[in-house]
Amino acid sequence: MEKKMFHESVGQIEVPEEDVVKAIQAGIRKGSRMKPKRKPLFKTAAVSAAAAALFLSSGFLFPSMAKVMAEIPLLAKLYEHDKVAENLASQQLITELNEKTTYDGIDVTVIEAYYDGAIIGVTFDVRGDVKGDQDEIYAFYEIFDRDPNIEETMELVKLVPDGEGYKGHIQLSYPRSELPAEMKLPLNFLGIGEIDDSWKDEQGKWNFDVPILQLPYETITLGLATELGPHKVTLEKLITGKSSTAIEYTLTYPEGGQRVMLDLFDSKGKQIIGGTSDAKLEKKTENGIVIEKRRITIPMVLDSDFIEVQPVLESGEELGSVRIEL
Amino acid sequence: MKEAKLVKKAMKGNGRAFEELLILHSDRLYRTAYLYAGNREDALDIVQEASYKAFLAISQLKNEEYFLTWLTRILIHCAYDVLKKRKRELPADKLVELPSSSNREAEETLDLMEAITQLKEQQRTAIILFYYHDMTISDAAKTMDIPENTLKTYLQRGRKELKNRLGGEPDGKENVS
Repeated sequence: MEKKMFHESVGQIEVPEEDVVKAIQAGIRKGSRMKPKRKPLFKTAAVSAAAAALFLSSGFLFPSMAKVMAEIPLLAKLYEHDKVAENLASQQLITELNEKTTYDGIDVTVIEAYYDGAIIGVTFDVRGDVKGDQDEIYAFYEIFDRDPNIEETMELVKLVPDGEGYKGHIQLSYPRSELPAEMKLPLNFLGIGEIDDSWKDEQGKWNFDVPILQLPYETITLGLATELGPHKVTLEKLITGKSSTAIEYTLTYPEGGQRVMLDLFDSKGKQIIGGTSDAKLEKKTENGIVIEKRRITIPMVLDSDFIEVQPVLESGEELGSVRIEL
Repeated sequence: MKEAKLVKKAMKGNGRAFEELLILHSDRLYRTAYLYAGNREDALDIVQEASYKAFLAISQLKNEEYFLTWLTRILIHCAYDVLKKRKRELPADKLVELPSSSNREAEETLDLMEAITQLKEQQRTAIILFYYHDMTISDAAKTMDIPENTLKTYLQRGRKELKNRLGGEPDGKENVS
């Protein structure tokens, strides 16, 4: 069979274009009802089977980790998008916990947590009467009791089947400006099972205050700035954790003006993408000028001598790049 | 706007960019779905479900280069789900729409479509990824999360099956091993 023939045949399937566009839009509408409107603050670790398998197979893992994975597939599945957890686990820097809550025949137990630099990870176990197709079980949770000052407080996480129950892992960037050395993370689960549109309107049913202790980290004051017209970016601080890095910065721009986003590159010129998260910490407006404090977290150990920060306006115009030596 | 930029925007949660991207690939999404469903209604359902799931998961895509592969995987999983559901409800052969035609070429096409919708899931996916999506053996194997040799086996069996159903036409020069 020739590819050409196949293409020609498939090409003859008539596409009802309008209906396809409608189907796409309907799907997105349904999705946006479940999803917080803006950019998610957290990166969930146990993701859709599709994405998971893709990354599992793309050689993203270190050889040593691949070996470990063969031995403990569940843990690997849970951590596959959380390089920080993977790294901390190998150094035994993850705290074991055993905090259990029961609601409606389902037990949720928080079993592990870490707090590295500005990144927090929590692993939990779900047992009991979970309804639905084993491969489509999600947990919907909120943090900080939906504090309106925090950009994103709710998120979905896909659970990984584990014997009689499930396990889930979440990773989030600490969303406040002060990084306390010790804290209790308010974490409430609103729904567990197959995705249900009504979860958004629910109250927390399995509620936790997860005790979290920060691992030692270093802070360096940067004070590096770059500007273009009325837009100014100042890199304030570099926070280096055991397995993650964070950059605190201030944006200054006219009210209603274009937003600035930061693209990060390593010393090989490769863009640093893997799960970086950019959170607003504070925002105030003075005489029509907005001053916004933000923190971008890089959830991995960087194999680079420096980070090249390239601020870009929405229009695509670039500000001068700034280099942070590591 | 360049597709890579759209993917980046979509990854940052921009719904409009996400919609634009999907529409950009809508023909391929629909036709792939059709190769599983064999009829318009189910194919549209698959596209809708895949759009929904992909939209929910887009922030978890780590590298924009993998967008299309990632989306394809989601679509295929949705297709499996729809087929599974349908199996419970109705016998599959009743649902393949085959409009009558006197044109010989069109008939061949319909035969091929029908033959594909009757392949086993894994063989069908292997055939679709390799022949329609023009993926390499290695990419198709990654997309299906199986070893390359397994993929080759699915391809060979799928082709053999198709050949049998289509009346044993000689195999082309395409070599997959």
